Amino acid sequence: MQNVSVYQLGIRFVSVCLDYYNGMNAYLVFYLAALLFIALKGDKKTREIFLPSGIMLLLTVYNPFFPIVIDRFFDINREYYRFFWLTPIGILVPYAGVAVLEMQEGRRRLAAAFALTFILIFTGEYIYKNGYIKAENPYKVPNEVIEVSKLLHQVSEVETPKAMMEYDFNMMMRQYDPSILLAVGREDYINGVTYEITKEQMDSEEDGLVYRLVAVMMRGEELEKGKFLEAVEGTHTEFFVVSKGNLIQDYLIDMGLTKAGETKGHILYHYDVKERENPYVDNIYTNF
Amino acid sequence: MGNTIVCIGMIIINFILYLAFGSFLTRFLKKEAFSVTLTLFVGFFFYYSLFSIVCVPMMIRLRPLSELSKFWGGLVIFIVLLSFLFHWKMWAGAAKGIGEFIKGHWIFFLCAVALSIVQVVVIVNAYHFTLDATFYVGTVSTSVYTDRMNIFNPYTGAWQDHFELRYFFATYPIHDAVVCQITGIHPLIETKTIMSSVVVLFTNIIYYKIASELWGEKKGSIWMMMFFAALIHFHYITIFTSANFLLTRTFEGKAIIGNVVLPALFYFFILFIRGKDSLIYWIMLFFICAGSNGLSTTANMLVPAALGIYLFPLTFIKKKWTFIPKCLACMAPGVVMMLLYVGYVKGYYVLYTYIR
Repeated sequence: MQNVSVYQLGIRFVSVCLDYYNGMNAYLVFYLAALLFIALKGDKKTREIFLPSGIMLLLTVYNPFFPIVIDRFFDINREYYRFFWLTPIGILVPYAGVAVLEMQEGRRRLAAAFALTFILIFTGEYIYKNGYIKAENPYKVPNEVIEVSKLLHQVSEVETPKAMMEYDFNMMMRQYDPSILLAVGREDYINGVTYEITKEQMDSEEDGLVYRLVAVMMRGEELEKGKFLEAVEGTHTEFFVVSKGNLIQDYLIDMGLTKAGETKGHILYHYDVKERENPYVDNIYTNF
Repeated sequence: MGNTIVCIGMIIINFILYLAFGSFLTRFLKKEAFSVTLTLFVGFFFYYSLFSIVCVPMMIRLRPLSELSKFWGGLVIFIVLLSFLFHWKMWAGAAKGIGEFIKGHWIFFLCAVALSIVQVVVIVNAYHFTLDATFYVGTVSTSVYTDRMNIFNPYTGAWQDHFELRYFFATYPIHDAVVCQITGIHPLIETKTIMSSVVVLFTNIIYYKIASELWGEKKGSIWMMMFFAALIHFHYITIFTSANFLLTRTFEGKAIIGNVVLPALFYFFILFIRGKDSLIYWIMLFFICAGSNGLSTTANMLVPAALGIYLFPLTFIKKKWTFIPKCLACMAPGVVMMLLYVGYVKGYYVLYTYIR
């Protein structure tokens, strides 16, 4: 959870995290109901199994003061939600459900089974509620990623071409083909896509060149030629993979890039960089 | 079709390995019948515990992946052969027992297998775009391609001058890289089909074990509990729930922690309540805890917390004070890893990726 902080929220931190964690799902309520059910109807053994851990969870993970204490030792803001995984919802709720079924006889049991199934389905959020998308190939990446990879190797003079791609391809390409080097890493790309990129960022020594590429590719900013080409040369980025609908293409051509090929949905632009890099064989790596 | 056969074959090979490794632990359960599911399960964590012990020193010494692949491959073959020599009679007996179980409970068996396979097929064939795959799968791909371990940035391919300790001790992706290097299987298939299937199957196995402890011989109730658990997994969805990790990020170690390790700790807690608390059960629990640290850094925090929440109350309920040192021993690997990470974050040490 990126946008919650113990420092800002104090004792409200747990409840805010829980809201994000549960969304519209009712299963935590069912867990509490099941705990009550076990407390009232369960035998001694069952109570021993489920109640102590439930009480411990309430005293620790769900205790509003608990994150305030542990935040002094560890930064738990982003990952506190994982403590909610300790709640055995997937064990206790099904157990209580089956216990309810066991109390019924004959057709009533069957009816109760259907009723519980419907309750569990309609009080949660189905993973495929927006449709089930079947992977296009065994690699579980879009076919276009594979096509772009093939095209890059066809047109590149080196085994490890360096490219700049749009956000989703940038995140998928190296899973499929690690011989393709990328100009922008995850954090710079996310920052560049999520927030406005300032002039100071684009001029910064550390990541300025990379931010310029993101600004052009994802925010459609048309930088002055010198600035853009400095970023291209500085990052040794020889190829740009642009989806056909991306309006930045005319700008790229104006900057001196040439069309090197295309797939069904993407166009590959090439720039003749003065110097290529290959971290796999360059620098200190050879000293092993 | 060929790819499907390879994947099924690899899943079976994985389970044979876990059986071979796990048998070295479950063979000491002399009073009880040999449990294949418990052996597989414990074997999985025992296997990854040993892998981490072998892998981490080689990473620190900057050895190439191929060296690890050869060494680990040889060691695994040796252990499997040794296990076969020691345990083949036990396995033969277990196979007979499984045959009788299927004969006696064939409807339950078919329904449980069908429930598990449907989940595997649905989950591993779905397409999901998740950012973290870039790191986890990218690490496997990059390691195989460069023949180096964790030295190049999986997002870009850039060289990193030091190891990122947040992920360093979680050697699960490096194991995938070893398998890919030995077999020639593409990292995306190893992570997103083969190991994802293994994880979904283990999730069902642990729910079966828990349901069996709670419902005894009532097979109908066991199956219904597994079914309700599966329904919850498919419907308890926000980007933060462990169910979401199981369904969309199955290839990550975190999915195993949330959906296999934590229920497993709860399972052992049930066993201890039932009086099955001999030393060998604690040793198995220790390897589950130790092995989970090699799967994901998340285990460093969650496993000790889970042990505290599930097991400490049990110490007082049962008034078994000897549980405390055993419980602390199981917490130790996670706590040590956590301290190592804190030391790195505070700047006390750095592991460089080159000889200085």
